[in-house]
Amino acid sequence: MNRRLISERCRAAGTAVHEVAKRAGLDPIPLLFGENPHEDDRMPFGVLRTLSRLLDVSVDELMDSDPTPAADPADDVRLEAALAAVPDGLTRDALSQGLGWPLERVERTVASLEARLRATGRRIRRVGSHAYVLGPNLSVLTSAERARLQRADRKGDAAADYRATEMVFGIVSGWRWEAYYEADPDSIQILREQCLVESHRNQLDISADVAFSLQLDQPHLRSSLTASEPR
Amino acid sequence: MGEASTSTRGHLHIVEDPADSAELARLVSSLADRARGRVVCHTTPGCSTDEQLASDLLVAVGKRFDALRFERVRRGAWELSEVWMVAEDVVDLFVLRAHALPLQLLHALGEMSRRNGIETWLIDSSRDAGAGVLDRMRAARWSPTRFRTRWESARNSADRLPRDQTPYPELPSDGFLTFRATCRRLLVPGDFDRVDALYRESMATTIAWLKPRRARPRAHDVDDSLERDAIAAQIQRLLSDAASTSEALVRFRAAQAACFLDGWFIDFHPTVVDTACGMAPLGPELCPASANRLRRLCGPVSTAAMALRLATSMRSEILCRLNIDDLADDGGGVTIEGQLMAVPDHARSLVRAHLVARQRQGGSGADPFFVGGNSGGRSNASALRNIVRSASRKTGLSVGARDTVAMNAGGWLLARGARIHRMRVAPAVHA
Repeated sequence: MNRRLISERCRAAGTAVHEVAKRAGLDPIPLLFGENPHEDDRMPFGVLRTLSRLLDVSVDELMDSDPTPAADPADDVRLEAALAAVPDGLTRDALSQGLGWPLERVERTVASLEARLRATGRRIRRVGSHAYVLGPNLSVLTSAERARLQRADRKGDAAADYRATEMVFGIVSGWRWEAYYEADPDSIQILREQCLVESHRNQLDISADVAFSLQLDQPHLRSSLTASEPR
Repeated sequence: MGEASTSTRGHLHIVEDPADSAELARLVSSLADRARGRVVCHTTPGCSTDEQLASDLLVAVGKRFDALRFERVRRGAWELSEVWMVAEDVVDLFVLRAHALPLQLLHALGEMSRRNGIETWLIDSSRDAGAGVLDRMRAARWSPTRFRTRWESARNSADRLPRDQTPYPELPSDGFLTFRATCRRLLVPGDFDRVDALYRESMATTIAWLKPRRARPRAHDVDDSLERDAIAAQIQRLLSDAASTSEALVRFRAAQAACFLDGWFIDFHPTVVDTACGMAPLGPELCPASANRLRRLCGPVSTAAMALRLATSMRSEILCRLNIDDLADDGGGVTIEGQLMAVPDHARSLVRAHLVARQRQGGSGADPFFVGGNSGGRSNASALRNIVRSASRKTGLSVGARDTVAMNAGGWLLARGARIHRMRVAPAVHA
């Protein structure tokens, strides 16, 4: 709660804070001196509304955490860059030392950046004690989208791997893939994860994507090439 | 082109326009279409010498207006203009305000037309059209109405551009094993159809090229380097007409797929191209836009050296060894170390011009393609390098900070970061 604003409005209205608190049904001591944001968060909305009317301010203005000065817009851009530069995250102290800011300025800027990122695909996560990391705002993605993104990320360019490509070539050519599997099961597994091969009735074959890309998806071209018979 | 003089072509036509109609002038101007062999010459007022007319003719085929001075061509301007008329396959030459030319220049134009089978259309816009200097020439006569009837449809013809000019779609970075499938998944339908048509065509072309080679007996211990060079040359020919890096990538992925089915793995990773180290992009270094910039030069040696360098990535030491019979007659191909490499269609006239010039100098067969020095003997690599650098400066086209590494077709492919590996022998896949 913006206690500075409350004091200013009371002064402007020519009234004392405890008078305002009394009329709003509040204990004046927390209103004057309270610093616990959790207490502020639990305040009934009806009380807040009464308070806002008495002081002629909006509820938002009342609940905006102070203090002045507001973070310089350039500060939160710099903070964002600093956090992006260190993917593992940074402590408040490290940010203070790295950016040459007092701790208060770091805190103020973190709050400002949090507010700015609320409507974006990123957010600041607090990790540990006074440490921050810039991460994705996963709440904007559906679980299906997240799952598909993870699968797509796993699929690399196996053609870059000569051995993997030769394995696929062997399968296409009807070689005995079991020999490959015995010698190098990990590579076969990688080819499966990269969606280059798949199993059909305990037989390994090229995936539909590979068949389409090599134009082997047409039956008359493919019929002589299945790896169904060991050689 | 000498044989064209005995053909039915090479005639003079005079269009009599005493009204000096702006509409007719606009029609004539709109007929310029180099791809269809039509050029329009806007004669400079007061043109009275063959050098001045040559300069106007060179502008008509795409040269800078001051090309002769810029490139310090001191003699032979008229012959140079004729070389370019032949190299560019000019079929119809339109000369605006021809009535203002002296008679001897008109006769020279007539001679050039007859020698080279060029239909030359002289626009007579004088008030006494039909009674002036052009009247003394033997030529077919056309009224403006008849001329419009003859050419109006050419002005309105569709697809004036040689190819589809819409930008090529963005492509996935998949390897060849899944490239086509990922394109189908990620591109909008219209874009995929366009990419897939090219992919299938390129794959079919490569398979057709590989098929007769597959029948050859092949032992496991055979040195495959010659075969790798042949494959590299085939890929260079396949990519030569690509108008963009994306289009080149589609063709390349298709070639990789076709070669894979034949037991060849072409390992390629798109990387940041470092031209300072002799690397070259997969995409066209001699795209239509670059060819047009190069076309602004009038010196055939410069255009040929630069065009061959950009099309093949060959070192100057290799280019200076070329003989005249290493070049295809139309300038569209060059044989290097036994492998035929292509010059893109839109740039072949840049090579052909020097071929025509050399042939007119009496060169043929095993005579050097690039000559230099006072003796007229074979040019050396250093001189050719200087010619390329000079052309690079004049046109703003880059050839990299260093001479390239390519000594043959295999080197061309290596310069693009691709390597060919032989996989184990397998039976044929496509019938």
